[in-house]
Amino acid sequence: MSARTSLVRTLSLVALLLFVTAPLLLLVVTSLARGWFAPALLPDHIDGSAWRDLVTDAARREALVNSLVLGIMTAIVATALALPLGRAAARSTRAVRRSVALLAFAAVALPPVALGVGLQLTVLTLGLGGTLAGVFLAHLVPTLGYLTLVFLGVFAQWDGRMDEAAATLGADVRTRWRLVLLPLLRRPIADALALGFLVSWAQVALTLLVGGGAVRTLPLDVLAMLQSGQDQRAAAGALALAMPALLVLGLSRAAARNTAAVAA
Amino acid sequence: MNAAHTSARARLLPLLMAGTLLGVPIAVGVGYLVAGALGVVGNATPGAMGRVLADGAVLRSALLSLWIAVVGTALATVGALCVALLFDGNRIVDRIAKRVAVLPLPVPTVAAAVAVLLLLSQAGWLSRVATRLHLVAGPAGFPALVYDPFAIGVITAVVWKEMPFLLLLALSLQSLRGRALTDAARTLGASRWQAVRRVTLPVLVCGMSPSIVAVFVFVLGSLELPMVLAPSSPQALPMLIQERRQALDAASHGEAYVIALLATVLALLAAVAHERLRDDAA
Repeated sequence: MSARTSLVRTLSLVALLLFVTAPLLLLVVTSLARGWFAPALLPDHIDGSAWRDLVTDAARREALVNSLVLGIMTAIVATALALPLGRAAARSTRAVRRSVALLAFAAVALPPVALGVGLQLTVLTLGLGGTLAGVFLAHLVPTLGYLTLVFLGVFAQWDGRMDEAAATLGADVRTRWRLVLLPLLRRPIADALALGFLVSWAQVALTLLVGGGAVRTLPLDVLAMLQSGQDQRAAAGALALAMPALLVLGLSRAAARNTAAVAA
Repeated sequence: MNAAHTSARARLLPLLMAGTLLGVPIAVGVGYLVAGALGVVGNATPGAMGRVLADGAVLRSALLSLWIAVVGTALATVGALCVALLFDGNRIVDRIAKRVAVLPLPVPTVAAAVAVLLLLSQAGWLSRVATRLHLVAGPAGFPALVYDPFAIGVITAVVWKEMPFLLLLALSLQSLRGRALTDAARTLGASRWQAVRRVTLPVLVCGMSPSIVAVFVFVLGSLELPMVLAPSSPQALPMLIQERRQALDAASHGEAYVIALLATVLALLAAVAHERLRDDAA
């Protein structure tokens, strides 16, 4: 490797480190800094009040609980629907698979604001405007799109011989699902639940439009804190938003390492 | 049950399920947008389509959104390719670069927007560093990098958030196909630069193209990024939809439906492009 290439690599690494880590570090410090105003480079007082507020302040706790409930419900229901859909589509013709994939991608790709405006009227017609149930139905649409794409991918590479063997040995559909398919699908199901949770957890536009401001979630709380100039609380909320995803990524890497260890 | 019957059922079942679970909500959502745009439902007045098409603010918003999506996606793609090519090895520097570069991947968009705001605003940390180094007289002397006409803040957040996703893909393509083909080209006498330009880059860009379209569509429809970082005039398209929907007059409601419909058409066109590119990439 030439000296010039080596210099380019070193400078690029430094630039990359600064670009990626500076915003993250700033979030961490701001979440712990009380009264940190320009032009101070570093905060004078460090406290964890913004983190405590997330669970002790009634309005912030409500936002956190709403986000958790919506995320968990959306993940479970979307996974339960996307799994059979992905399986049936993957076993069908190429034209059917393409149609299903196109519909799923459309659900993901539609601008949430545009989808939200349409779904807002639907939910209002159902009498669910401004309710958690209405927001749940709205979150379900893009989440189902994402998870259908996931299960289409899973079943495209699926080895169906175990299932076929069980069927040949006389197992009925229910037994095959319980004893063969679900155990084999444990990892993709766990991934789908995590992804489903994260899609709902980070939603802004759909919650804002369908919830009509009456359903407060953590992302909306972060935006409200930012708009009212409460940077410390906004930063703590933003980091709290990132935590489940970081946890999922960590668990997924650990699982991958374990799998590699077993395979080796 | 005969085989033909089973086969027909196997074909119809996923279409029925997808139609019910995905098609119906999308059709109902888009149907309401059409009805709202025509002034049939949603407290809207007719004639919105003509007003929107003649409204210069809508065109400026659409251009701003396209600018953000095109430049943000292009820079994120270039960044991902640069990292993938520069650190394409297994030395400690390569491993550190790849691990650090994907850190923002799990950070939700709202959190990314907040982080970039804290960094780039005139009261933000970069401005404080510049003031301390006497590069500017004070926060007011720091250039506007958020709420600015070129949406630098939004584009920075897009690159920060989306580069890791594209990088992971580039790395995976590199290990699946790119490296072997590049090695073959080098063996056949291509210089390092020729192999990168004629083999590695086309393989990576071709494989990444569906995901590049997906990022473009995601950025185009994102509300939270412009909400936190973009200028208020012109507004990004999702902000304009939101503003007109929340306005008190019925005329604005109708315009919100029309603009949302235009954004939907753009997204659906991208969905079709995505499927085509996915087929080509496969």
